[in-house]
Amino acid sequence: MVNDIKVARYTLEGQSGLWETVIGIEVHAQVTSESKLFSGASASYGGSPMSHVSLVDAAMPGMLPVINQQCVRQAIKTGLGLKAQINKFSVFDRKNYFYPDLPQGYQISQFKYPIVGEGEVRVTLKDNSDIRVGIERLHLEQDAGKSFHDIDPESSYIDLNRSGVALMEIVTKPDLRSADEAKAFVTKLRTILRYLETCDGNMEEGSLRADINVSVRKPGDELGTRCEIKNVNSIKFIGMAIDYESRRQIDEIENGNKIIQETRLFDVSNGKTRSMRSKEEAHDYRYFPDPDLLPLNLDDNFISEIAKEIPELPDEKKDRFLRNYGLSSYDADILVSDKKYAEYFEKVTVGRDPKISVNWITGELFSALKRLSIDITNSPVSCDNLGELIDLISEGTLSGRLAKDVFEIMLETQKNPRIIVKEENLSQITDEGSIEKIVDKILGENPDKVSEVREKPKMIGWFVGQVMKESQGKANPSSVNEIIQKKLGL
Amino acid sequence: MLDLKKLDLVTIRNSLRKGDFTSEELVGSYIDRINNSKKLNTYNTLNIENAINLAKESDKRILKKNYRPMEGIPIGIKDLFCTKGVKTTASSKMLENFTPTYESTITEKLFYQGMILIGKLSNDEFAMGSSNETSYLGPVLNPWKKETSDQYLVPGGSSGGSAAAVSASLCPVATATDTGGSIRQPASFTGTVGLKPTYGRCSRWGIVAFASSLDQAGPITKTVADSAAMLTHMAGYDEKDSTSSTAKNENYEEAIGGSLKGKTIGIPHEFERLDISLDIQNNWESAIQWYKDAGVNIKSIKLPHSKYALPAYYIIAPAEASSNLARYDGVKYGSRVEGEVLDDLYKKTRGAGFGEEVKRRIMMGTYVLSAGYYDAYYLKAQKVRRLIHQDFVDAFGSVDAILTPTTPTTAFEIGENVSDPLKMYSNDILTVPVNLAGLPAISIPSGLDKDGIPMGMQLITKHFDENSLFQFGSIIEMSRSDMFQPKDWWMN
Amino acid sequence: MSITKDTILKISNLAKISITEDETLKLQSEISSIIKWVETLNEVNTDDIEPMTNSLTNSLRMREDNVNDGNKIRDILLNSPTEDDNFFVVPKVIE
Ligand SMILES: [Mg+2]
Ligand SMILES: [Zn+2]
Repeated sequence: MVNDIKVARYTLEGQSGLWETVIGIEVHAQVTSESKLFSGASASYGGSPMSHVSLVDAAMPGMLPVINQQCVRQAIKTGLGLKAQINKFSVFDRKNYFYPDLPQGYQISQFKYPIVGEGEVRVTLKDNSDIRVGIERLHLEQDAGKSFHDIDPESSYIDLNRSGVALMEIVTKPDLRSADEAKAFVTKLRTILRYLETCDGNMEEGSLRADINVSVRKPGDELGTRCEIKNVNSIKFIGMAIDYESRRQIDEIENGNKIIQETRLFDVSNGKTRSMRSKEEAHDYRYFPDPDLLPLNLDDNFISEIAKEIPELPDEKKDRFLRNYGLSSYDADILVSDKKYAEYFEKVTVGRDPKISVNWITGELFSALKRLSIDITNSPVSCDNLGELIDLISEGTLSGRLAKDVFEIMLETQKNPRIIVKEENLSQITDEGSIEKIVDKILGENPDKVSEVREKPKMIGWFVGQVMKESQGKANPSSVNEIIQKKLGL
Repeated sequence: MLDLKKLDLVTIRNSLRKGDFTSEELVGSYIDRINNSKKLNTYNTLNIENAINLAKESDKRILKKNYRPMEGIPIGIKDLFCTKGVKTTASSKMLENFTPTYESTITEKLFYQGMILIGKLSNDEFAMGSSNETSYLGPVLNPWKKETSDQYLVPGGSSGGSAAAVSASLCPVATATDTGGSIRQPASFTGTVGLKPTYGRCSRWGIVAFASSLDQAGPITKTVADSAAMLTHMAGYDEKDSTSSTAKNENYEEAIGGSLKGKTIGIPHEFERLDISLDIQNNWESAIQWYKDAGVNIKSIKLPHSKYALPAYYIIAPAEASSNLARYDGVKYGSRVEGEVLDDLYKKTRGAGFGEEVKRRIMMGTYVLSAGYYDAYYLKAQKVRRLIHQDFVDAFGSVDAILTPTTPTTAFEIGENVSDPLKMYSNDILTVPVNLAGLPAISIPSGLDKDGIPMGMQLITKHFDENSLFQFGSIIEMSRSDMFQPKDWWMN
Repeated sequence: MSITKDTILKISNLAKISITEDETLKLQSEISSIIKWVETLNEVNTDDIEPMTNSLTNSLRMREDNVNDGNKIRDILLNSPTEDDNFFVVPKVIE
């Protein structure tokens, strides 16, 4: 636990001394469901304008909301995954304001009685230390439609396909202290949501958006006035927005100005935040319980059935990987950062050395997948084949170097490594006679180097390299080394 | 031409089946009478051609004896129920050209049973009013007039068009909605039977919303039996309405009759202090006597918080309305007044599209929900609401039904109360507690006052006990001596 | 409590209803008297009383997660006062 107010975890330097940034995040995560929160229209991304719109979503006169059970289940599942309190009594409220993407003139949300209460997320930082980020609450609410401001010079165009799609608003306590911490938190939260399959975490499609509350203070002081940066839709931008905003606030204060509590927008084009004047008119949302909906009363059975569906989550998986496989915390973090990585690893490593398995996965495999922009689920190198490649190394059939060549062929052909070795005649030369022949040839061709090496024994590496080259990499490097030493009498 | 004044729903149903007349003849007669009754201003929109065609279809079915339960019976629909392909205006300029592409659950059910839409009936704009004077299409006239005066009277509201049309025999039955008395008060003012079912009994899907936690649809009819027949086909669970009840439905017509001996009726005597006219107080006494004569025990009960129902209602209903009517913004449907910027468009559209009373209530509702006032007004009203509800629960521990007048006065003159909102609101003083508690209640014509204007008695029963309403209600119908048939003074 | 003219203007702005000067004054007096009247509720002791938002006491009913609606662009746009390319159109909004 590092959350001690007296000791700032992270500070920024200003003219007047050190500053601490205090950050709280509200994440809007789209609930994975077929249909919308209160209507039977499709919740899927895209679709031609107005095609995923029901009469309810368009707020036609007399239309009424009926809640989607799956969305309720997903919220509970997420709450359980965040080790949070599930509230058996919750209420849907109306948040009233006028905006063209809000057809009802109100958003159905949860205000006083959210479905999920306090919870906690453990976040591992780059320096391998852990922080704990408190979850204040999670509630269900409707998404708004989408406005397009660039179709016509004088008008905004409104599409209601998103209108009414279920969102989970997940609100943290002001427990974060830096851009890196905020990025690590959102990354971790996204991983958890993906494990739970309650949100696909696809930030490009807007499935996960963050409102970031930023304030600065002198370490140990009371909380400063905060500004809310709305709708930041990538982890990189979250970091940029916080860095810019905390610096801006420090400058303002040091220049003798006051921070005004306001809503700001992160401008991707220049990396700055700016005041959203249009949204600044006095807001008074007039929340009150939606009279079209009754309170939601959940019974223990309903909740415990959902609890049974909770998979092993990243924290537990990491602990198990450390315990059972003896992995480093660093390696374990990489593997558990995506459930699919962990699954792949666990298949590869059956009966094999975990450390070698991790190295192959996080090294060769990940860089190849990244290069080819392929998801691990579609990896051309199956876990069985990668496992066999590792076997070929430990059996001595392939050197590390050869194995990399075989791996490249596997990527291209999706073939089994044993077949590749056979077809390409790639197995390592281990019989001493053949290696001796090559060594003799190299020594014979380079008499000057031979005399040099007697003075500078480190030059032996040059001979090994030549032999390996001559053998097209097939010679076993340790045998080569041994034979050269013997021949040179070193 | 048929004498429509003699025709109630049950009579029509039997006559059509027996072949006394055809549905086409019947519909033709109503259209004729409606055309001669324009002066009352009851209908916003007529559905003549469709109605005649549907009547012909019904006649074929009747001939083949494969008729549906309500085959060929015309009905007027309050212009708050969305009707597919037929303009639905809520009597507001805001929706003057709105044509739904969908059918409300209630009208769907009624049409499915064979009823024929003859037209859409006027109401107070967005159901906000107690006199039907707030319709943008002008006031509806009460078919009743005082013997001593030529002044036009209001039919009550908000379902004034429905009540006036049934009273004037411009349709045998009509649908209506009741948020604070909007079925019972106009029924009382026009000598018709008005039923507000238990909240949740009839689906609200497709009905233009006023105050969602209070709105409930019901019928206005000439008789108690007609009311029961209508409820049988209007009631029922609707999965599209989250506040629709799964409570069991029955054939309510079968409830009527049978002895009430040994049952108990509760009388809240403290209501006498609520400025109830002398004629109505006397009529109340008579009604109590009718029950005594029928062997019913009379018990004095207390509803101590009911006097606070009206102020609580005028916080809760406007609060819900201010939010329910936010959707009328000129963007998706309805009237629109263009503006330079979006805010102008909203304000101009809503400033021009809503009438005075609607604006007043939206403003009032916005105020009581706004920051700093929520607890003092909205939350306070909801707490008082619970106390009002609890009073009824306590009372029903020892009585089977409660009897009160429906309104403190009989129909008043057009224009008499429009300038004083509080005076207008006081009309609902006896009906509003029922809505806040979600109970079923019925208003039944019980006598004529000294000017020959109808009075009505209200019966209230436990949640989902509409059967008792019909059972107790028929006693009034059998015991009263007056006839409830207005003279045709308005006819061309 | 009496309502100021400023409050009426603030409320009309929240409710997005344009009102004339005359209407403002009229609403100010009407709403003031309605508010004064509803304040009779203060006579009632409501300590420890839970607010009642609906007379129904059952829990919210939930529906199955099926896509059985949407794809009715014509219905959505039929009554639209202005529409282009299946979008609703409003004066330009600057964020
Ligand atoms: Mg928020
Ligand atoms: Zn939100």
